[in-house]
Amino acid sequence: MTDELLVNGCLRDDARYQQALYDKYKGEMFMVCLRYAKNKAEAEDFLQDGFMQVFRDLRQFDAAKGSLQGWVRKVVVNKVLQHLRKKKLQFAGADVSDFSNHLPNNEDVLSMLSAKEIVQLIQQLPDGYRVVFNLFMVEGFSHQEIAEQLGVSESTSKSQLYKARQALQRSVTELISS
Amino acid sequence: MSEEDKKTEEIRDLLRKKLESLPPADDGWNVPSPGVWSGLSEELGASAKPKPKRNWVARLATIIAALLVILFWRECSNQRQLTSLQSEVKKVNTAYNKLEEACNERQSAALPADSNQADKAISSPPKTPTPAASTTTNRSSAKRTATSNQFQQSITRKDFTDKTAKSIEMEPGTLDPAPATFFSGTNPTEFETPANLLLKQTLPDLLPLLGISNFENKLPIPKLDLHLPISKKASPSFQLIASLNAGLALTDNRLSGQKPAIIKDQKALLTWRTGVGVEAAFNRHWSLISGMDYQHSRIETQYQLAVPYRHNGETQHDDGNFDNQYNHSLPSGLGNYPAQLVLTRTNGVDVQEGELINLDLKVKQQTRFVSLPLQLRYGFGKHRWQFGVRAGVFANHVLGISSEKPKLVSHHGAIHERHTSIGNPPLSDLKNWTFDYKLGLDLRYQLTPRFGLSFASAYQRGFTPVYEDALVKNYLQAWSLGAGVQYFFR
Repeated sequence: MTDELLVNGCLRDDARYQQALYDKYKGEMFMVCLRYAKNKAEAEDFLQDGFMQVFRDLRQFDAAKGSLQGWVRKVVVNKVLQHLRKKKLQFAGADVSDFSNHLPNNEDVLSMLSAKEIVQLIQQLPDGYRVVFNLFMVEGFSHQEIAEQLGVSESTSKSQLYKARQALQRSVTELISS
Repeated sequence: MSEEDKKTEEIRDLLRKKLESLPPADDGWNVPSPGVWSGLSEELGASAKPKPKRNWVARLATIIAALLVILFWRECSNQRQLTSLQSEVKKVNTAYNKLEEACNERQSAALPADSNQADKAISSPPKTPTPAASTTTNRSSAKRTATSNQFQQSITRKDFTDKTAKSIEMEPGTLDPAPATFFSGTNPTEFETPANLLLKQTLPDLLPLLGISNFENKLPIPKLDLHLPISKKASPSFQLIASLNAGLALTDNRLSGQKPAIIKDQKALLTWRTGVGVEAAFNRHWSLISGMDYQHSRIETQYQLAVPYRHNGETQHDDGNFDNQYNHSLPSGLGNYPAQLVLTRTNGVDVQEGELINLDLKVKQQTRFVSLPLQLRYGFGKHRWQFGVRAGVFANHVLGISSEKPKLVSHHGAIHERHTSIGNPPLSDLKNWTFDYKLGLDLRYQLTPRFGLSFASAYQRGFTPVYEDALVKNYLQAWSLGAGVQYFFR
């Protein structure tokens, strides 16, 4: 079913099209939610609220400006961030001198891990690290954009990312050695 | 791009490659539970405009109700017209009686005792229906003592044959035995009496209403005896009746076989039902009823679970407590409901590995049906009341099943509920069509010839199961109470 058909059907509040839209993107969006949540139950809450927002805002979708997939992902991520902001994320104070440009090389190690293991490692990170890591490393936002999104400074965003990568490296090393 | 940025970009690509476009895993770790869509569809259903398909019964009921109201209003208007017409007819009849009496008195006074022709002239016209007070039922036996000295009145008549008025004075004591002008036809027994002529003059507008159009050749106008349409004898041999009904019902599961041990209790909840009916009444007593009903069944099931605690499945929540997820399949009379329970252990409190956690879970399960009845009714009663007994069969078609927000209670001091979601069993697990038998009683009151009210109670029981598996069969049963409006086609 094409995106146009899906959107038109959902705008008519036709439950069949709503379910079809959900079924088409639930897998990908659930992976997004799993990365931001602490566990599967929380991820499902994020997913349900995210899709509810998608159906509410569907009239604003403009096919000329991008794909439906990209738009749905953006809405879900924004909804997740809304939830997380309500929880008042704790970010450790930014000390520029702690931040080093010489980041450890995780690439080879990451390639040895399965997707499930990577997600579980990310879930174990504290909230602040996890959010910044996801926004920077997976969604592809810049530190400036992350700072605007989360209401923090750019240097805080950088330090959170650095600490997230350090923590991940430790976890990966432990996992591999065990 | 610096070396650092290149490395970052490579890691990003790797992460995206690993984490996106993954197929569903066998263990379901990256697949949301069915409860997510159930919750979503409930929220969407609550906020969306109603689907036409689900509302067609309500729309049909609204149209029928509107038709019934219009027909009732017309019926009341007709009743008013009939009532006023009847009072006019009564006036006519009263006037006629008076005129007839006056006419007979005058005729009696005018006729000589030995006038055979006069007797014939008077006795020959056919008798007309007269009220009880009439004195002219037997003219041949009436006394005619005419004395020329006493008869002072003159009879004036008009000649209608040539449409000109003539006044003929009659001599006291004589009677023109067969005046040509009295005959307006070939039958010598037909003649115009003064009463008849007077009526024709004074009530020309009413005669067509009474069904008399050609009155030149008619005898004294027959009186009409109009009855109100509601007659004790009335009752056409065949009658069609339409009805609109609504009421309450308690529908319960009747499980046969081995009831799952996990089910602690089941309770039927009150629901509403509505429907339209068509009844073919063959006579005053027997009728056949069909139609369509829309109904729900709501059952609250209480489950008793005992789950062994596992430490290796724990994850720490932000509040410091430890969450553990359990997936269950909850059996019911309508199939298995998938359930996902997230329990949380209070931080700092130890629970032994494998320790059983006793849980009580209540879930409300709802089913929607469309039912097609076929019932035989026997009615008896007096005046406007009728009591009826019904028996018949129903064919039921399941439209959908759903579950409402569950309630989980833990009996362990350190374990509490974090999150519970319940999905729905597949509709395909239920029988598409089931059949019930139904016994009922009803009471009817006839408001007007066209409209009536009815009150009914019934017991319905399935003789085919709505759900069946290796262990259990579910035959639904219901008790209902309702009221309705009827329209009688005549």
